[in-house]
Amino acid sequence: MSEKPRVLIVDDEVDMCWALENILMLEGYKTHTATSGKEGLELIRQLHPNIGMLFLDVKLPDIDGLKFASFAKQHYPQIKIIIISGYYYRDSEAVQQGLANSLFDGFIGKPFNISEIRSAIETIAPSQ
Amino acid sequence: MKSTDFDNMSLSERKYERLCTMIFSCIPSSLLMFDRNLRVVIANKNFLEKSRRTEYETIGKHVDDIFPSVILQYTRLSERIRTVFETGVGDRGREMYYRSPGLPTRVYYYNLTPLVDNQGVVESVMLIMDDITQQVSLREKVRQTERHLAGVVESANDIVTSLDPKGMILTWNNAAERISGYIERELLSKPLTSICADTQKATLVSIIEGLSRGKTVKHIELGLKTKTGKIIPISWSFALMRDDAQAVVGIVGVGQDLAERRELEAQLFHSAKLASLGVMAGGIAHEIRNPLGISSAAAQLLLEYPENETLRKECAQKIYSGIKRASQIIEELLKFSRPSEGRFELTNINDAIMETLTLIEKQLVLMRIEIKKNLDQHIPLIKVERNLMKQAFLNMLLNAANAMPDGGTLTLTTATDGKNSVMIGFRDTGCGIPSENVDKIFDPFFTTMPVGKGTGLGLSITYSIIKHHEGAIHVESTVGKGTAFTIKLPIKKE
Repeated sequence: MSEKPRVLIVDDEVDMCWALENILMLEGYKTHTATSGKEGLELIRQLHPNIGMLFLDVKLPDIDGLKFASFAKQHYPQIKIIIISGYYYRDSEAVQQGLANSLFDGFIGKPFNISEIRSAIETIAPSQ
Repeated sequence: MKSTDFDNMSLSERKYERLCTMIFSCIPSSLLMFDRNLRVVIANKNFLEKSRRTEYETIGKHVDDIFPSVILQYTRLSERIRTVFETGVGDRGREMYYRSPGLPTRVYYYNLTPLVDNQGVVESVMLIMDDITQQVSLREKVRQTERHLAGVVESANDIVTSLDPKGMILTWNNAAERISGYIERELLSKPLTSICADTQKATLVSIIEGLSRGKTVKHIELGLKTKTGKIIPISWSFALMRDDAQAVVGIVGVGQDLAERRELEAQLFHSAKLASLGVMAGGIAHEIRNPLGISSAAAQLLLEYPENETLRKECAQKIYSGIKRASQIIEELLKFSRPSEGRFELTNINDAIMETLTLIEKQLVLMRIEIKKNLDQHIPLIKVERNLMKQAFLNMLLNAANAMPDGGTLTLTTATDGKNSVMIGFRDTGCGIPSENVDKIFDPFFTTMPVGKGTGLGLSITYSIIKHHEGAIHVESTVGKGTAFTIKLPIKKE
């Protein structure tokens, strides 16, 4: 049985990383976390062949999350990106545009239901 | 004059006669001398010019042939001259309007003077007319100006009062009556101090003493005790009235009722505060949604995996700390949005800045704005309306953030000169203000931000708040380099 792709979580809130980490872990995923854009990019650079999914916050203290997403898409197109934000809504223009231009693959607003995470994963990476 | 008369004159008499003729011809008054038959004996040059008559048309003529009948009728000139001949008593101080053919009406002030011979009989009567046309028109102008001034004073919205140099009330205008409840009659010759708030009487006394020594006073706030005993804040400006010799003859006081303005200002401050909350709404939502998201996720994990002991404990902790954080943010917001109570309290300015910063610090960090704090730890406490001051600081922080859309450094400085004032500096490394806009930045609704980004009220509200604290705000800016605002607040000694 092939190993499930690893998930990278980038959110400046340590507790948010903790929550996502636990949810995904209990779903059977291996996770890595970063609390800044710089740290996240470094992890991607090192681990990209093994990373299949990226949970990404938009408001990061050092890098704009949307810029992070477009950079990741460009260089590591195999990584599916789910934006997770307390700032934007699903119908915010930036989110709509991002989804339409495949800048990222899913959007989840904070606070979220665990079921939303599950269905987002299901949509972008149908179970093998 | 007949030649025989001349021959009979002595030398001195002749000299005297020449002198008289000279005076007659050169005085700036019109002069006519009548004999008992009311015929003209002498007419001087001035009269002939003004009336456009020749000597030939005048000398020997009856008074009734000299003046137009209209004038003769209303001045009753012939009758008056006759009376002077009979009584020997002059008639003085009357006005005559005279219009020579082809000339505008002129006003004359005339006297009738009897000339008495050695036996006490009136020999002739002299009519002296002074042209007072110019004085009359000036007098009219003065009256008009006086009426205009009185109208201004009476219709003014502010108290206008004049006092004698000792501070006794001489006049008390309509607005003063309306504001104080006292009518002018009740206060005439009473000291202005009698209607001053008890606690400030000494201040007013020393102001009036200073005034009588030539010191003017502007915008001093004193409570006025109305007839019903209410204390109303009045902003007074006093100026001196001096006579031509520069001696102080009185004091003019203009007082503005601050109560109404205060109320309007408070309303404006409050609505602007709510508007600035609107600008911050996105950031605030983010701030609250994060702890909510964490709590919510933890609660769901708890529900789904109740048997996991370690997870259970962690979840409970995260839920608890998330809720605490969210309610702390809401608490700060409520504190901030509460209307100001108008109470000045001793405040550590550093604390006020730090409390304000908690509202948007996260947002600034997300905008990649580095905050440098350069706070004087020994800053003296000053009396401010804490909530208003925090509002002013928030506006300064938002303004700096807006100036640095691509991030930068915001340096917050507090300092003191030790005795008179406290300085608060906000220096950003943003876009700067073009020199043509520097004068406008404190104008209400002046904004360079797109609609919905800024209200355009921030800096003007800050300005009013600082003024309200009798402080000053100063700006220095270089386009492309950044802007430094310095707020100066007075340390007031009680």
